[in-house]
Amino acid sequence: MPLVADRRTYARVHVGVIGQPDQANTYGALEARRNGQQIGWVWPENGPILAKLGGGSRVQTDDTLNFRLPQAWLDGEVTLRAFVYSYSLATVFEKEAEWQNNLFAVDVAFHPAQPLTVHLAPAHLHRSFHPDDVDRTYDPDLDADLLPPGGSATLRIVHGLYRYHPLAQVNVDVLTAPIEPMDHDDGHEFNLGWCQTTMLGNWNGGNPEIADWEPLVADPAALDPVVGTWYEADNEWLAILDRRIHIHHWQLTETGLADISMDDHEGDGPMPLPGTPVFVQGCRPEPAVSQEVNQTLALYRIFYDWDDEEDLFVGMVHPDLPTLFGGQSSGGTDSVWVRMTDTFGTTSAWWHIGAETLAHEAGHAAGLKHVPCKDGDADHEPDGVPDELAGGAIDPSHPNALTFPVCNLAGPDPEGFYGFDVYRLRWNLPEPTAISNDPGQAAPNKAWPLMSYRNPGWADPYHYCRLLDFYGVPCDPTELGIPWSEPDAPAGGPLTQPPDPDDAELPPGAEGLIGLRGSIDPATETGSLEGAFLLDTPTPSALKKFSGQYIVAEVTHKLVVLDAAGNELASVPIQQHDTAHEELESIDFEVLVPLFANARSYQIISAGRDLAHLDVSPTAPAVTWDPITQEADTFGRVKVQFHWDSSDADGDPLTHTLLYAPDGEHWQVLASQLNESDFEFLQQALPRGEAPIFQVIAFDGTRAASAVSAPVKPVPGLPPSAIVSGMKATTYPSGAEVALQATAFDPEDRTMPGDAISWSSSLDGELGTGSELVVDDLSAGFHLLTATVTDSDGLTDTTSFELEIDGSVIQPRPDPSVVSAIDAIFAAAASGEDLATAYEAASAPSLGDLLPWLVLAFVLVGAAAGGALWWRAKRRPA
Amino acid sequence: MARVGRAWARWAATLVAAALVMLAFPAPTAAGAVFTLLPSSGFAGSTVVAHGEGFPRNQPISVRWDGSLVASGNSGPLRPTKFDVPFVVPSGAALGSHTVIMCVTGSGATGCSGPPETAIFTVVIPAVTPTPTLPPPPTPIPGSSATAAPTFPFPTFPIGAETPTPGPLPIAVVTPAPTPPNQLGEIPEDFPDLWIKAIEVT
Repeated sequence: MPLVADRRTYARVHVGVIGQPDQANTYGALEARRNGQQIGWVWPENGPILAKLGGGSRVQTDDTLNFRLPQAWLDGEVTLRAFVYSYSLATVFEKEAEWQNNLFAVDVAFHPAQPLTVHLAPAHLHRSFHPDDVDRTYDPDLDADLLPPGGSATLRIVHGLYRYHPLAQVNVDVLTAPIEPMDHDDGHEFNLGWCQTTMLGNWNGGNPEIADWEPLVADPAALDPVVGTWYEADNEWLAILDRRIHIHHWQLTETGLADISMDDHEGDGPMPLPGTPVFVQGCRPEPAVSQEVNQTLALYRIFYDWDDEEDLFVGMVHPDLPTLFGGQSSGGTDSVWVRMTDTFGTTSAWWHIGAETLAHEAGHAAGLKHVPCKDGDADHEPDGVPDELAGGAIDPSHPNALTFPVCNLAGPDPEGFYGFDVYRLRWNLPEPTAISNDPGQAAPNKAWPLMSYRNPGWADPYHYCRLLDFYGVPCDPTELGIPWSEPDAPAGGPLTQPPDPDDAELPPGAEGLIGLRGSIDPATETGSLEGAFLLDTPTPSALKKFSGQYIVAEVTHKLVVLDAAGNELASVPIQQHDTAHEELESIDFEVLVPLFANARSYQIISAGRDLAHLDVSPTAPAVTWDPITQEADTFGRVKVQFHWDSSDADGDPLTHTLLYAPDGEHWQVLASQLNESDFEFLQQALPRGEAPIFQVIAFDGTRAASAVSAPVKPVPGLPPSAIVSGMKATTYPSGAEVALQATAFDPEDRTMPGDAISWSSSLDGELGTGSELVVDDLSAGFHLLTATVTDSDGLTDTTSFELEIDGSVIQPRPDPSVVSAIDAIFAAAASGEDLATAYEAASAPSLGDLLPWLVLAFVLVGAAAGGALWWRAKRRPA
Repeated sequence: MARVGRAWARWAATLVAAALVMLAFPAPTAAGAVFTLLPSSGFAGSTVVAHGEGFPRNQPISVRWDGSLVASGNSGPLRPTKFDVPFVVPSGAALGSHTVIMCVTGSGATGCSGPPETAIFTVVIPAVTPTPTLPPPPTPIPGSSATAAPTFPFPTFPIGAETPTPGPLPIAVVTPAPTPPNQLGEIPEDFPDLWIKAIEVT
């Protein structure tokens, strides 16, 4: 599997034994060379180990010597060479039958992957998804780092992307305000809940009466309930305010209500009155509107035109809400929402639920479809249909598509080298875990494919390979021997050849793109169509998406652009909205359509029939800027106040999008879907701009007008942010190696190089620079260690944490003669010389070593000679 | 129901009093930092959230009760910073006003690296406040009549302070020092042949 440059990487050296069942005190070293030149060698993080016959078990992390590769090794082509011994170096040559097999070398190559920037936006939500209920907007609560005590729940979730995706750099960018749905000013709210009914009777101590019985059963048409008879419910839980009611039975009352008998409940808070919304877990709303969060995020994404990184826009959802899914992705929009659940699963200590959920949804955003794996459904009875299908399309190319319901991370492999939780410190896990591809393994070493519904999940080789491709690291599953299925026809996701950006251009005569969305109901042959946004200067990502729309397997519906005479100016195929977790009965779509000055209408055509159309407004709106002011408030904060004048001669309602270009070139959305003609913003939340400009776009549904401001006063900019990304412990022995690790991101400089991070100690002063700095000479005592990151403007950010060096415990150090002998062994191995000779030479005592013995021998010989002379003189006759 | 009404009157009065105290003691500074206590009165042993805004980013934060450290946290990377540090009112705290400070942790006499922000917490006698909790559920026997519970207006309830999700516990363990790779014990007579099966790079 291709390796990612600068991604945390381990080398696990599997040591076997011949002639004994095992061998204690086995140790070793690992060397790295680039272009033949040694770049260093390291001792393992664990050991000495008990080496075992056959190499031991791969899932036992102490059956191998585990080397964490220093960051300097993690790019380009590198030769790794391991050397192992037991008890002492001399035994290799004096005791073992063969010393040649104590060496092993592999050539590896590290490939740069694009960084991923995660744009986090709290989703404005209410409990019950009702505008009058209490606010339940998630607070990101981004602490400085992941280190205990405390730590950031949001970062624990976001850092799941390191664990599951082939990434070396995940940047976190927070949108400045919670996102709201369209028409929020008119009382519309996001609703991510299960299907909804109402409590109409009394609460009855947790045995409420609700308006409808149909949501309680899977197939209401198959039941004609009798009043007063108790029935079992197919759907098991009710969510009412903050309470969760586990349904035991229900009965139909004479007044037509469903009387619930509970057998368990969770939660507390106020008790509901008649009229309170009730959500029935397991019952899907029709139509589902949970995609609205992603649709709103998509409006932020479509104008965002930083082109040198992958972007993921994440709507953060309060974890207490009764949401239909743990998360949801909308294909082609780089937008997902996730319930921010900061809890670990029960079966495996390493399984963090929120982290896996985000990584799963980000997998969808990268084009991955579901892996068929789970067959339990709501009633926990297998029915031969993958549960994943109910949440979105299955990836027919995946190896598990042919083996369902048998489901494994990978096929059984006698080598079994797969999966190691290299980022465990992000979750403060004391020990690493090896994830096995062996279907017979138990927790915590067992996992299922990330894109399935079984937990815990792990990135399987096929989808990991596809993700490598997505992040810019070439990966061919065929070359890796992964038994995937070639597609019969392009069908999106990983089956699709990615569009060539060079071909991503507008058709002749087009002046931009318009985003249209709607739905098609094939059963009733009806549809709906509305405008979402207009881009007169499409961003690279918009052009890429536009060109990718034409790769559709089977086109039965299309959207055409017509002029006044009814001539077709352009046609765009409509495919099933690639919505993971969406029922398939109606087709929701969002397409980018070429914009022509002479376009008069947009039509959805299916089998020659006009299912819906949208006429182009005769007149475009108009918008002009009033002066933009930058004034300090009583707290010293500068408020930027915007006013604009917009109008539409046709009287169409206008929505406005406000954008900011700190460099006068790259735009980002500050606010979207504004109905009013003014807005206010804190300048301290804006990235630096020497001559920043703003743009307002007024949109009437089919036409838009925009106005770009003159440059305003420079915005001083944002400092970088540093995140300390992992510590093995908070207390170390004196002389121990301490690896200080941090990452940094700057809103203006973006990903920051390691030398922008400097480290200092309250006891020892400056320590050095680097995103990873290993020190072994910290003084005994309590240190306040500080990582300082400095951006190109000289703005800094610091993060500090405490660490103790326990002076009463001394870290043993290797004998210099051992170090020099290993130096010699690696040098000889690299040059093809005889190792035994090199070792003997390195171990042969030098003149300096022999000098004390020579002096002693000289003294002894001298003394003996003197004694002999004295004896002879004494015995000589006078 | 009358009993419930009186209880609610006390509850409402407590809320109003708490709101007034909170309004009375926000602590803005010239630098724009704000430190508030939620609530700003309560009994000894109760949990209070120290809420800070506008402090320098990514700094260790200390909360001190009458000078004694009661909690620590971090101001986080967001600008402006906004964070909560929960702490427990010392069990022996006397009734009346107490000074609580929040500051960036430092090595000075006050334990702060700069001027602290101050708020006042009033320790009161524990009040019997009606917590609207679910009564014991009736035995869910189909057909039995359930006991009616008091109901409360929807949706006029304020949401209570949510319990912060605790982070992972700190590891305060001295990293075990591995045996130095010089001479690993007494060499046995029967010595096998070691071999490297593979190097797994992951």
